[in-house]
Order: sequence, then C-alpha cells, then structure tokens
Amino acid sequence: MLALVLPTDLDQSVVAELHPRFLEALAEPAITIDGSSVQHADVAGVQLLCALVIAAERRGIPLVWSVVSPALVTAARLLGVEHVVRIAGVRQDGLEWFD
Amino acid sequence: MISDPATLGRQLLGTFLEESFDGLERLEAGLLRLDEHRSSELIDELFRVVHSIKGGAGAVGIVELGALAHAMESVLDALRRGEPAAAGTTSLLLRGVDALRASLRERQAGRSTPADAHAQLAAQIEHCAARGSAPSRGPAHPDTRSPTAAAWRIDIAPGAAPGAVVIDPIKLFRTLADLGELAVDAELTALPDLARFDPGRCYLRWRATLPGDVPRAAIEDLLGWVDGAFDVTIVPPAALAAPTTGEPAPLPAATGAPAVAAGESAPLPALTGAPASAVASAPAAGSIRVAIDKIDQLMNMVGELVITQSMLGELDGDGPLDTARLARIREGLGQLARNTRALQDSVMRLRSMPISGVFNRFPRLVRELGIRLGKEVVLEITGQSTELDKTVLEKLGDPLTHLVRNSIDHGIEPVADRLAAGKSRAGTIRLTAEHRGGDVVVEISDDGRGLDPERIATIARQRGLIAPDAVLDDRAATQLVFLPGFSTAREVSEISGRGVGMDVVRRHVEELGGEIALDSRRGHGTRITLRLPLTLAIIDGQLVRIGDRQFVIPLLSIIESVAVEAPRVSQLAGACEVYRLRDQLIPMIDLAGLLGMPRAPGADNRVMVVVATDTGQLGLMVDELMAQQQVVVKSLETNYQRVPGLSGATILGDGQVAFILDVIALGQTARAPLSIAA
Repeated sequence: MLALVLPTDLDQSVVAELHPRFLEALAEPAITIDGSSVQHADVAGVQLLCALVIAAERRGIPLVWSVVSPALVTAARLLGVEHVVRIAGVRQDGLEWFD
Repeated sequence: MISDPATLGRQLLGTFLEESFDGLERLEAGLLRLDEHRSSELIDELFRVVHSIKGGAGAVGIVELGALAHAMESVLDALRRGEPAAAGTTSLLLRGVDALRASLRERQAGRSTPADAHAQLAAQIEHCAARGSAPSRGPAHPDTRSPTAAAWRIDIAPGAAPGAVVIDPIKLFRTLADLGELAVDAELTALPDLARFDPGRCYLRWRATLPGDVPRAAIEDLLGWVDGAFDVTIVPPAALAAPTTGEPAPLPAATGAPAVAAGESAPLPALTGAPASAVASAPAAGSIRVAIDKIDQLMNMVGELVITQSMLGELDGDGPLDTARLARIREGLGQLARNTRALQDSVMRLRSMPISGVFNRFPRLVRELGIRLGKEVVLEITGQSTELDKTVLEKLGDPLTHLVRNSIDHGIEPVADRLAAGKSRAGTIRLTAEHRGGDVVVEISDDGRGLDPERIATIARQRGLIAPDAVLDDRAATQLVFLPGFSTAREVSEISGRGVGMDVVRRHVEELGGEIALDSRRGHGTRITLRLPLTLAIIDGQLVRIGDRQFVIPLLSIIESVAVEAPRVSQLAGACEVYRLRDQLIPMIDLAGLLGMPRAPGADNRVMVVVATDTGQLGLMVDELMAQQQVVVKSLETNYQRVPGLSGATILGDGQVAFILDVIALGQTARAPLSIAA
C-alpha cells in the first residue's frame, strides 16, 4: 500500500510535480493519503485530487484518507467537491490559522 | 403621499435612514439576546423598532419594505402575546434585519430594490407568525444544498482564455459566503482521467446559490473583480422562479460559452482594476450623532473664547503701550492659547464615537459562525463605551472582524476536542477596549487551542521566510504569522477590503498609527492586543526640510535619526543605496530625488531619518531636522487628489503648506529587500 503525503501547499505551484506521483500511485494495490500538512489549497490542487480519487475508483483501487487538515476540508467544501474527494468525516488535524 | 424618493426632501430621507440604521442595530442586538433573555420589555422594544421602520418607510415612500416589516412585526406581536417561538424564529428575524438593511443601503445609494424582492422571506416570516413555528429551511441549516426559486443562481466557469487560473475560486466563494447562506455544487464532467490531466487547466465549473434577499449590487461588487478570469452568470431569483419545475437548470456547457438566461441576467460590469467596495461598508460618512453634553461643552469653550476676545479687544484702544498693558495682553494671549487647546479637545471629542459601533457586529458574527462550524462560543464584551476617533473606528472594523473570525474558526476547538482537553464545552472569546495613556487598547482573546510554534516555524522555513537552521523560541515563532508571505490568501483582502492574513491585519493597524501584539500559549488560547491612537486628525510630527520645502514625518513611525557619514553608504547591485547602521544595512530613499526636487546646495551634511515600515526599516534622506510639533492633518484627496507617497498635508504656523509623508507607501516604493542583516 502506498502512503501519499500531501504537501503544505497543495496548489498550482506543485501540481505539475504531483501529477506523475499520483499516476504512479495508481499502479499500487491501495492508496492512503495523509492530508494533515496541507495549509493552503487552491483549485488546481483540489481538482488534481478529484482526478486522483475518481481515477482510483474507476480502477477499483481502494483509497483511504488517514487524516486531513482543516485547510483542505475548507477548500474542498468551498469548491463543492467535499463529496467527490470523500473527506467528510475523516479525522482532522492541523492548523489553519493563517488562511 | 409622496411616492418618488427623488422628490423627497433629502433631509427627511436622510433622517429616516439614519434612525432606521440605528434601529436595525438595536433590533439585531436585541434579537441576539432574545433566545436567552426573553422579557416582555425586550420584545416590546423590538416590536417598536420594527413598527417605526415600517411606519417611516411608508411615510417616505419606500414601499418595498412594507410587507417584510409587517411580517416581522406580526411575529414579534405574537411573541408579545406570549405565544411560544419555535427554533429558527430568531434566525429568520435576523435575516429580515439583513434584508431591511440591504434595502435601506440601496436607497441610501440612490437605488431601490424591486417591490417583491423580500416577498419570499416575508412569506416565510408570516408563516412563522401564523403557525407559531419556524419553516424547515433557514440559516440554522447551513448545509442545505439545493437551489430554491428564492435564490440567486451564480454560474461560474473558467474564462475563455487558456492557461492557468489567476484568481482562486476558493477565495471567491469564501467572500460570497459572507453575503449569506452559500451552497456550491461543482460540475466535474469536463475533468479528464488522471492520465490525460493537464495540470495547467481548470476543468471545474460551479453553480452557487445565495438567498434571494442578498442585494444584486453586493454580489456584483464581489464578483466584479474576477473580470475575465471567469465567465460569471448571475440569474436573479425572479428569473428562476418563473420557469421553476423543481429541476434546476443545467450548468453551463463544459466546453462552450457560459449559458446566459435570456434577458434575465447580464454579464458583470467589467471593472478596471478598481477594488470592489466592501459590501457591508458603513453608510456614507455624511453625519455623526453627537451627545448633547459634548455640544454644551463646545458652547462653553466658545463662550470662554468670546470673553478672551473682548478682553483683548479692550486692550486695543488708544493709549500708551506701557508695562501694565503689555502684561494684560500677555495674559490675554495665554488665555487664548488655553482656550484654543480646550476648544481643540472639545472638537476632537465631537469626532469620538463609542467602539460599540464596531463591537456590535460581533455577537451576530459569533452566533452564525458558531452554528456554521458546529462550535459553542460565548462572546464577552467589555469597554464598549470606550471612545475612538470616527476615522479610526471606521478602519478598525475589518481587521477586528478578521481576528474574531480567526478565533472562532481556528482558535476555539470543536466541543469534543474541548471536552477531551478538560475544558468547558463552550469556548470563550473576550473583546475588551480601554483607554491606556493616550491610546486605546483593544484586546481579542480566546481560550482555544492557541498557536503551535513548532508548526509555524516549520511553515516559515518551508516558505523561506526564515533560515533553515534558525532557532526560535516559542514567542518569536508565533510572531512569524505577521510576516508578509506567511498568509496564503492576501489577494482577496486587497480587493474585498476584508482583512485576510495576519500581515494584512498588521498593516491595517499600522496604517492607523497603531501597533499589534500577539501572545499565545498552546492549548490555552491566544490574545491579540491592538494599541490605537485616539485620533488621526492631529498627529505628532517631525518637521524636516528637503530643499526649500518643509515636510512632516509622523513621529510614531520614526525610530531614530542619524547624521549621514559617507563611508557608511554603499550601493547594492541592482538595488537602492544602503546605509550600514550598527549591524544592519538600511535601504535609503533620497526624498529630494523621489519628489523631483532640486538638491539643496551644501547637501552633504544630510540627515537620515530611520522609519519603521511594514516591510522593515527604511532610511529617509532629508536636508535638515526641524521642530517637532502637533499638526492638523488635511486630506489631499478632499482638497486636491491622492498623491502616492503623501498621506496628507498640513498648514504650518507661518501659513506654509507642508506635506505629510506616507511612510508605509514609501516603504512599498522601495520594495527592495528592505532590511538585510549585515
């Protein structure tokens, strides 16, 4: 099982770098995502996450969240994709003081 | 009856609006107390307020408020008769307050809201009054996601221009959510499989809905600035209500141009980069209410002045200018100076207003944010009668709102976490204001989780704000949140006027001539202290000479002044001149050059005034330091036009006009690395 740790800034500045890593993750039998470090997320980062979750689902790869940060939850909620990335109810940890 | 407000006496309308805004403030505050302290006196007072607004609106021809005010009156009347109030009544009435206020603001701006703009809300409230129960849908249910006929529909799709998204829709939705209960649905049909995903494109589009009673202007103000980055279509509630079949219309086609409901919605007016005005900006600063005792005191002062003037007048007769007469003139002039000072103080008091004008918005904010986040929060306010200059007060709202919002959002823990930490269920936020010395000190404190210094330091390292091997104690680490670049959402704040990010809050406070301090203990809470000047109208200034003109530097921003020694000046490659002062390199600004003034002869013996800006220290080169004195600030915008680098002007004792330097703006002009450790 692969554990993906999302970066502090899940935004435009990192999507090009994250995209191949996400594609590699699809070769794994299962994926666990740790989103606790995310302090800032933008639409570019969140839609990449959506694409990963949907792709994993289509390929029948189990994908689970270990923990998410409030910043990531807020970003997903505001973008109306909380249900797409399936983070509702996931344990939250992290600091979102600065956003 | 007069029906066209354009023909009304402006005074009558102005008085009505002013009284109604006051009334709505009382109504809002009273409604927030209603759930816990229901008393017949309170309900009577709330009823009277609504009744006055209803009556007054009718009298000045503002018909669109009638039905809504009547419905609210009916509910309050039912409560007055002792009928029970169902849960949700208060929220519904608060929405009514918002709607009334929005309509009055439209009127104040010379516009009007459609006669049936509040029909849906009025019907809901009427329903509540008739059945003694609240309808099922209201702001207490923040997760309601389906659009309704009474809602604005806002379709947002990436702009036609290819390439990266410049404006983050997250910030857009965050500001829209401030207007009312926002529901956002994303459309992902254009999102390709991860294998074909292009990281540079935005594939998502959204349909957002806002309550129908939100004024269109408010939505346009917020969306106007997206200008080209997104295609935005706003469909008003009425347009949605007509064809309603229960099914929402489809989202704009994923690949084509955005759908525009025929004839009903229009593209947003393009803005030319001008920041949108804050939606909830205070009514135009046309008048202030003044307590009678202040006017009486002013009258007393004027009386004293008249006496002094007549005393001096008597000395103006013929006769020898002997010692006795000179002594009496001197005495008269002394008295005149005292009177003038007292008159100045009295006039300054006229401009002072209680801070409750700002504090009053917070009970509502805390209540609604608490409901939305599922947290229990108690707000304690003290010192709300503390007075501050009106200008300071007006500019204090946004930073304070941000700080309170931060406390609720990120400071106060969810109930389960609090109980697990051995704390009370409800978190407490304390807002206090008091006079200390010549300043007003405002504190916002909470008993929440506090800041995590280690985490802050880690983020600061990741963002390159501190050296990777920097060692910081806890206190120093928490101060890093004030660094520019630490916060992540500054763009919106620049545009919406709502401070986002602690560096922006600090800048706002410093622009007011104030200071901000943060004290936080992990697990115990956070306290933020703002120290603000009583007034902005008169400042302590340092007069300096540049060429043949005098300028004023606000004394508060000056750290020190040094005689310039040529060997300590050096030129940084590609940057400005810097001055080596002890262990620091201070960037220097040649004010004569910047202001396009001729260099004075003999300018070698120049002085550098070191000032604090929001980006670090800055050395201002001047020809001579002159006196320090209080100066009365005159607005350049009002009397001439805004001039970058100058915050105003003043008239000196000799009648000469001296400009006041805007130190913060000068710091931004020289936005080279402003303070470099040598």
